[in-house]
Amino acid sequence: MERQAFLRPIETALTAPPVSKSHPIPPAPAEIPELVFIDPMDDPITTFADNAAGLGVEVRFAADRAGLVPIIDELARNEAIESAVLSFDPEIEGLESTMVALGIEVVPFGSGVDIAQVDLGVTGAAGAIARTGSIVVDSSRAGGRGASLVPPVHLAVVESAAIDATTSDWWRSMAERYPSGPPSQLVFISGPSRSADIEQTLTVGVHGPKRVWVAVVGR
Amino acid sequence: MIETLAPNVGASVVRVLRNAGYDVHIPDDVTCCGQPAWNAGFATEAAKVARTSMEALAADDAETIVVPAGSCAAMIRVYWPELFRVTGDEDASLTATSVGEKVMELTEFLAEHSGAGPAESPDDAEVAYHHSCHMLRELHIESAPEAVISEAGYALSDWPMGRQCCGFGGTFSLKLPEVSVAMADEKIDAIPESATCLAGSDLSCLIHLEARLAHRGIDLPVVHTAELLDQ
Amino acid sequence: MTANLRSRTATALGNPGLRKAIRDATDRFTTHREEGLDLANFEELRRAARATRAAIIADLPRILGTFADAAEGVGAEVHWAGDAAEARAIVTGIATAHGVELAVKAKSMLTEEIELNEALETAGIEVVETDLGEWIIQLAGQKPSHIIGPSLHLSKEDVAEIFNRRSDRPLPADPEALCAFARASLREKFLAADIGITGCNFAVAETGTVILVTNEGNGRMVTSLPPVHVVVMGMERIVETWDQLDLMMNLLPRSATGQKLSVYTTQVTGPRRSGETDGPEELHIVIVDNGRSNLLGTEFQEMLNCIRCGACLNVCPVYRQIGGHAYESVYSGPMGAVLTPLLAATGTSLDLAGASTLCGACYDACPVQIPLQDLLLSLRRINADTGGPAWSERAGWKNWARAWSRPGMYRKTVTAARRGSGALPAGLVPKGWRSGRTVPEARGTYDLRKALRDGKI
Repeated sequence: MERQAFLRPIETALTAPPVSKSHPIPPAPAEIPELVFIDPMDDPITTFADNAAGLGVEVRFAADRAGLVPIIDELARNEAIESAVLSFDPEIEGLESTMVALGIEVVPFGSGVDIAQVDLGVTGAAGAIARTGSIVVDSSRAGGRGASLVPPVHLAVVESAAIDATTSDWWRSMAERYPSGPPSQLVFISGPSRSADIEQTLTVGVHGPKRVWVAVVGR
Repeated sequence: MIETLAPNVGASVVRVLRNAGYDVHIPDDVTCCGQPAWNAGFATEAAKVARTSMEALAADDAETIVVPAGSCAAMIRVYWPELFRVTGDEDASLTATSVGEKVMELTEFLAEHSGAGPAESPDDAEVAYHHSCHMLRELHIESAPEAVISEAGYALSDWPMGRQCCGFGGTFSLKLPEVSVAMADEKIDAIPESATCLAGSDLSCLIHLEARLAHRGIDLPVVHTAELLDQ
Repeated sequence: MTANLRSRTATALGNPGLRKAIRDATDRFTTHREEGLDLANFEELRRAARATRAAIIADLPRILGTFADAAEGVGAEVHWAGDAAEARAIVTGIATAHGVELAVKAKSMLTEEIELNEALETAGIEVVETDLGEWIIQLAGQKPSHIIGPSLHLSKEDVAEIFNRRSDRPLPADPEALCAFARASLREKFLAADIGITGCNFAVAETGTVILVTNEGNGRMVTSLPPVHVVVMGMERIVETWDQLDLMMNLLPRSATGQKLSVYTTQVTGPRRSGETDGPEELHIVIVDNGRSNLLGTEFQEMLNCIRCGACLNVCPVYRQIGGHAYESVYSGPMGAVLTPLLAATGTSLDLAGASTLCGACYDACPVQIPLQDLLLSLRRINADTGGPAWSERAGWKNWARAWSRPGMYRKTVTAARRGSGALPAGLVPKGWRSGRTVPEARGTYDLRKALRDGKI
């Protein structure tokens, strides 16, 4: 049906509903209240690392880009990585040669190339959220979605200065971050994929990556 | 309900309040709060009965209306204004609000106006206290009954199911009796071994639990909070 | 109350495996929710969320218009479906227009509500559920029993049995092994699918964004790999601003599973853009009414505030005993007992309002503070007013009201009830009550008021 035909019965029906005296609805607040946390947070970077680790993420620190090399080396050994796909995020620019030097085959990230058989997906992150242990992947920055999704292992490189405290630092400033509107896919990734659908038993590694590594650069 | 099924409990209530230093009377024309019909969806019938009680309470000049049943106290304080709004009686709705302001559940009253002092509690008495739903979630009275019982010298059980619905639910216990009994069983099965009695502030819950305990041959006395305090 | 509801509850009660599964699952959800609470002002946030959702619903036409404009502005195609049949036709039409042979779906209760899968299958399309719980029940030919954990009524042995019907090698009743089988089986489907179908946890009107809350990665797979993405969205699942989204998204995962965020919080704004290597080329958003407008302008309008967290199911002492299938609806527990008869608007399922003791645990747990116990009560009034109860019950209440609204009559009936052997009088305790319960002795048989007047107390 057409939009107006759909909306008209709604407009008609929306007379003021009866007001209950037992549990009346309070008036809407002028501003949405801020999130207030029970535990204070000293430092977003440490809090991010703790929360991410609590979700099963391997968190590593690098003072600068050069510091990524030993991290990738460790990752490649631990996770038996032979091939990788790299997104177009600025944080990992130039990392291809490092990976090749470590003996990892780099598969191009592009239309039609099958990344389903690749061992590792490497992306940057537009930011991270300390209180939830999440990294933020922006598909326009990354050039696509698959690198952080299809391979069984995901490495995200995030600048320490881009780690914010709470979801509010993202969601209450979307207009500032994206004046022309959000990207086609923005995702907050909080740990490796999981399910507890079978007898509430937690299983890690369902359809998304089984292992997530985050390298924090700049601290 | 108390005067029909358990006048002894009523007597305990009177004595406990007197011991706390208060004069007690029961207004002649108070009948019932109307909750059974209200919960069954029969608002007109509920309002008819509630109105009689409300007018009797409104006409009474007592400072406080103490109700020794959480569900009735909730009916009066939380639901009477809505009951009369729904049945189109705005004036009664307003009267109900002002009557509701004078209503306190028994332990709520005692906790605030305490001075009842310790009762003669047996040394090894341990009370598994059942928090009835209306009292807990509509009146938000949670610590008062436990405080009052502790002050009277009783130990309180650590009963994980103490705050879960007993399964009575008025006509629910008649319409889905198997579920009603299953809910009682889950609570009963979780009563700690060390409990020497089960207590609560809502007679309807207590009779339902007592009836199930008896059917299962479990020997655990069931008492109203007022009876505990009236030792 | 039909015999049916009661016999369905009796069936559930007679299944100890089912009851254990439900208790364990709901206890775990509730424990995680309670232990995961890291917010100091949760009550303030709940109150704000209640008021905010109510304000949004009150302004729904404008906000839906804003959403549609913004979504169309970023290249999505927005469709409007008045009812389930229309929604099915629209989605099937999109699929057949694209020559779809294989559709992959993320979990969406709305698509269950409108019975989409059958329609697609009738059109010759293979439909594969990819959420583990939904895939399990799809293979088992069952309906969901919980809106968050649709297969929680099944044990791992049940799941192994279901998977073993299609596995080459025998699978043990071990969650890891069973998940690995699901991962391998469904990966093929993701990669081969022609269309991905999801629900919508929230739409954000100001930018035309669709929010998806998932843990397994299937939500991302379904919205990244196939060339077409179809969102089936309940018209009420919307906020106007990102500020409001922040509020809702800090309540939803915490209330559902105790997580601060689900593993993947996917925020889709239009189809893929140039320069992106993947993502759907087309994004279709189907906005569905299907009876939701029945609730507008009524005391039930608040039910549309529901954000589908499932907390009410987890704390309901009745759901706990009988599970979701006893409700015979996609939506079970307290929110299901309210929503189901209202969406249907034909008077069917009004008996679900009786599957409750009005204990209020749902209201306590609801992140947007919907007074479900009040709404269930209102449904009982509607049931009473439209001839639901038996004539004998109706007459019974009328007589009761006549007697107990008069103090003199009240005293007479109470006195008459007290007479007897000391056991509680039969007139007050109907026979049905006595199965499983042994009526206790009365605590005294004297006239309390008279005793008080006479100074005997």
